[in-house]
Amino acid sequence: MSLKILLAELICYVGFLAIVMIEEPLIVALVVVVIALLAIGMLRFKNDFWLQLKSEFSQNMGKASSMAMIIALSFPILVAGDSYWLQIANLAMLYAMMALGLNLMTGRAGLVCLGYAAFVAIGAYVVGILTLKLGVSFWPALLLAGITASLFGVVLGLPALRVKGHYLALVTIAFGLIVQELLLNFESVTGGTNGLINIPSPVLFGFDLSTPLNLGFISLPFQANFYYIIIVLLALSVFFVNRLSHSFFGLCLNAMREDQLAAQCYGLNLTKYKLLAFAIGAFFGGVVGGVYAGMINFIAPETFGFQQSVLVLSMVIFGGLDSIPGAVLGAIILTIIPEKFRAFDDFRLMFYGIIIVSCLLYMPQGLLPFKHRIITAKPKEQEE
Amino acid sequence: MKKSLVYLMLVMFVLTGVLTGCGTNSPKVVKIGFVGPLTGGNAAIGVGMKNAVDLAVKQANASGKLAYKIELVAVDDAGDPTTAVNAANKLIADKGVVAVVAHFNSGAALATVPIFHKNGLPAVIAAAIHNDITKDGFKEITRVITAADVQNEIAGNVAAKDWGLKKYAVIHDKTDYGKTNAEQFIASVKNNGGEIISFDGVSVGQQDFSALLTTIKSKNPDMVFFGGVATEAALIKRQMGELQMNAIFMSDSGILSDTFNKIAGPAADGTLAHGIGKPLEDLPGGKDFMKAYTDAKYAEPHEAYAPFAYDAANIIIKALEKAGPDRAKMAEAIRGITGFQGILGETAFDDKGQTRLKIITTYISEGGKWVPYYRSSLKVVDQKIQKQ
Amino acid sequence: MTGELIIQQLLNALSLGVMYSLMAVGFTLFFGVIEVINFAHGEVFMLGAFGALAASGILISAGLPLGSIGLFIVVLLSVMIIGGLIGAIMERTIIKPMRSSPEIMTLLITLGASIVMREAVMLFFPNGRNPQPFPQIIVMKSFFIGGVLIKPDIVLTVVLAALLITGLYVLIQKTAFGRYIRATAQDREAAKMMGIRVDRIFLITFILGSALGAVAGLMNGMSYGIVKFTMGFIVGIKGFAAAVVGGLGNVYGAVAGGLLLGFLETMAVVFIPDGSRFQESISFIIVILFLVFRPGGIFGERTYEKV
Repeated sequence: MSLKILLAELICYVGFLAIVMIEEPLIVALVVVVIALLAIGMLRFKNDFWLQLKSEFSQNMGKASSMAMIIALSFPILVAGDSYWLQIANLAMLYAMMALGLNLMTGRAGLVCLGYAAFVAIGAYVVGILTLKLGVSFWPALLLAGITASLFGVVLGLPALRVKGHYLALVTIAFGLIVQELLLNFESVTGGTNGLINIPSPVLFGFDLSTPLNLGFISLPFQANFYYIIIVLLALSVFFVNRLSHSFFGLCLNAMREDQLAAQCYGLNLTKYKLLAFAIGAFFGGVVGGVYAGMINFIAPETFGFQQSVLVLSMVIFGGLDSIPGAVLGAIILTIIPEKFRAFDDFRLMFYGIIIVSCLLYMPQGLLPFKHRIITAKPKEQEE
Repeated sequence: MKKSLVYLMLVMFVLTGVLTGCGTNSPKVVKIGFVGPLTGGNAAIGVGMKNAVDLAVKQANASGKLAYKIELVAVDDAGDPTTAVNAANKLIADKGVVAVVAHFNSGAALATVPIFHKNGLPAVIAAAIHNDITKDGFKEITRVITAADVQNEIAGNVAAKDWGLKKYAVIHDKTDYGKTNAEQFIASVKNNGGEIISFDGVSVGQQDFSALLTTIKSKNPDMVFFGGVATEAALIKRQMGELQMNAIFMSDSGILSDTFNKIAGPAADGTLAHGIGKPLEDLPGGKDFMKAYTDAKYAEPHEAYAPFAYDAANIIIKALEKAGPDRAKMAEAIRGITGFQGILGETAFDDKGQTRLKIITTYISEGGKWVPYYRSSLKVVDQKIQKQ
Repeated sequence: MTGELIIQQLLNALSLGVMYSLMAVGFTLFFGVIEVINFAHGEVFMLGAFGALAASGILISAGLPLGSIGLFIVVLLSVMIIGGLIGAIMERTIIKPMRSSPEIMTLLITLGASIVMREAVMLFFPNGRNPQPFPQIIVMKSFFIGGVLIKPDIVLTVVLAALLITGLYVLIQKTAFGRYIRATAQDREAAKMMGIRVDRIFLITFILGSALGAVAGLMNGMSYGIVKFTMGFIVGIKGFAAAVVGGLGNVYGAVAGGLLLGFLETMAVVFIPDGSRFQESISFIIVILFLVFRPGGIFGERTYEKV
């Protein structure tokens, strides 16, 4: 039974590797088209098979995702330590974590956030400042990055208590721009436009993560260390967000999204849920920022601009609002594809814009639509 | 067991040698990397630089003096540090790349310099002028362009000493580039007894400076200095004209482009700026370069920084002749280069990898063009710009 | 600080504020009538400026003398037509299909459209990547009145904006068509039942608002002498902020909100030490404060949600 899942995942993985490895953009385009056609063909003609596969997946979500994670562990070895693609993979997974965080705010709780990059910036600067200037070691700093971002999430959540919809969009944009302005202007702490240079790399059990990873039979560039760290963080995030979504708390966020007034009438404490949604969503952003700072060793305000916020949002929309696998897949696809067509780099933003517009017009549910759960929760879980 | 492995490898070595030697008869391919802004706001400059590197490579291949066939691998840093880091990694991953001509934007260079160092890939910084780029003196990093502090030091000397200006209002655009220039200019002016009456930051992309300029005007400065790039500088100069301010306007090398003159229009006249390098036709090898560039029929103009990229590429090629395609040996050869006559002059590096050449020129905008001050009919007389 | 200097700074504030007001009127119109926030409005502003650039280029090469009133009027009209057309296309392609979707979806789609429009100009307008000089359509000289320097483009912008906004006011308040708009804004269903073609009202509202935005772009090009593809984003957000400060849906509010933001931004530069560094953030801080403490805007009343 789970063999089918494994097989399907392996096939996808091989296709993915092919897309990554082949250099010629035309051939990649061809592969992408073939895969798309195959998928459409599956949908059209082998409908039974497709449905069967789908139900397999949805019934064994846990198993399927853990298998996918294990398969993904082989990626650094299979690309033979190509540091460029490892870096892209790292960024893709970081984007996936951001998408999960934003998805919790915007997808699940319905709180539009167009300033998500600000949380990432805050996390990155917390790690940067603590490790560079105060000599704190990376891991506590990373935790603190998440917590600080959460606190800022609450700060942003406060005006969100009073406003919603369009107004909230404006407030979050303003928040993002103000954070950027502050980073630019407090040079003594943030380095201003210079940013922070030479942020120390994290050390794990005495092993400096910026040194090559020697697996005995193969020596991988240092990006592989981060690959494994980030994949663990991503797995934890998926697990956590998944549990959260299936909890009573998750349902409350859904209720709030559908109708704030009605939810309130049912006795939901909107203040609490809004602030929590912001805090948790921001936490992911903060952690991503912290890891980014430790990996790239360089941060500057312009890295975390409005464009980044829009980019993460387009990933969430593309994957499907409120869909966890959608957020992850959306982030990975939307990072890899433009990277593959770097020759057309000018069109990158245009591509994201078109993705947003066409998704909302023709595929508002996204790639992997969220499904309302079929199995109801056990009564025990419904206590607050 | 081990021995047989060694034999096997030996045999393979010989075989590859034989095959490449007489089988195909084509020289070994060696790659030179280029990383610079091919997209984004500085794309025109970046593409000009890339073309210059391409020209150097083509000339080297055509000369037939090299034992290798050189190929150019150009990647884009979009002028932004994050993209630059990715681009640098791409070049590092390509084992055929022996050295890189790198960067126009200082932010990008600051981010990638430690990465080039960590991975042992020699990088010759062509046109990024931030002082800190060569601060650490990494053995892989060299720079063919004069650093920013020299330019601003001379700018301050000229303004305060030669022209005798006293009161300065300084504006910067809050970017690293603009602010550093402004601060270095201030330091130099203060050394020469000038007085700074205001120091303000504005935003890139801002259009309206009239509130700030009105305030500055009420303080009667002799000179307004702006640290930043062309667009904002042009808007400031225009709005100074509209407010009928008499102060002389000076900026840094970031405004030495046609963009400034086009946007500022007639208001551009009399704007001063110090640039690194010299007009191409006044440089030792400038005329030859211009002719070769025109003959090669590139679609894009070479723009201001192509000579630096061209010299950087030729230094790499010369080092390749000497050291062969090995990154570590190349780094050493580039660092210790002697007797290199480029279009900028004779380039040699100091112990930090910084070029010893200090070529700074004062420019003035006259009739919609940047003219070297020594050739212009506009002069600073009695603390005003006057036609001679 | 002398009195002249204060007046000078007030004039600077006025020229900024009028631009924001023109943008804010568009936002407020869309929200009041159709209940959408059009994030692409800033890009309409940008396209208006580029349209003006293209139109004046064509007209000048066709023989109209540079710096004449005639040229200005023709450019103005063509910019309004361009803006209106873009508005119409947007309404039909992205706003109408999204009418039954949740409001956040409409907002996101206009955001996506704004990216597409901005990037399209960068990629496909000749030399669109670089800032371009804007021709001096009308040549006028600055002059002094009692020590205060008057820039002609401020006068032109203020007069034109006043004319356009008054025109809009008359259209909405005094004509039959305006009655339809107001009826639709008040109660869409009831208006439909009274025989108003709501669909058409929506379209025309969009055309009107977008034409105003495009004119703001033209005025911006004329007073700063520069157009660039990124110019719409910040102005768009500030126009939105001004509309919110004035109370979304309220045309007078939008005008007042725009002027207020322009005023406060200028004053921040003048009175806060080193305030010029924060000029761009002032509007955002103000709008957040307004939303928290006075969500209805300057003239807004407290609203209660209908159940």
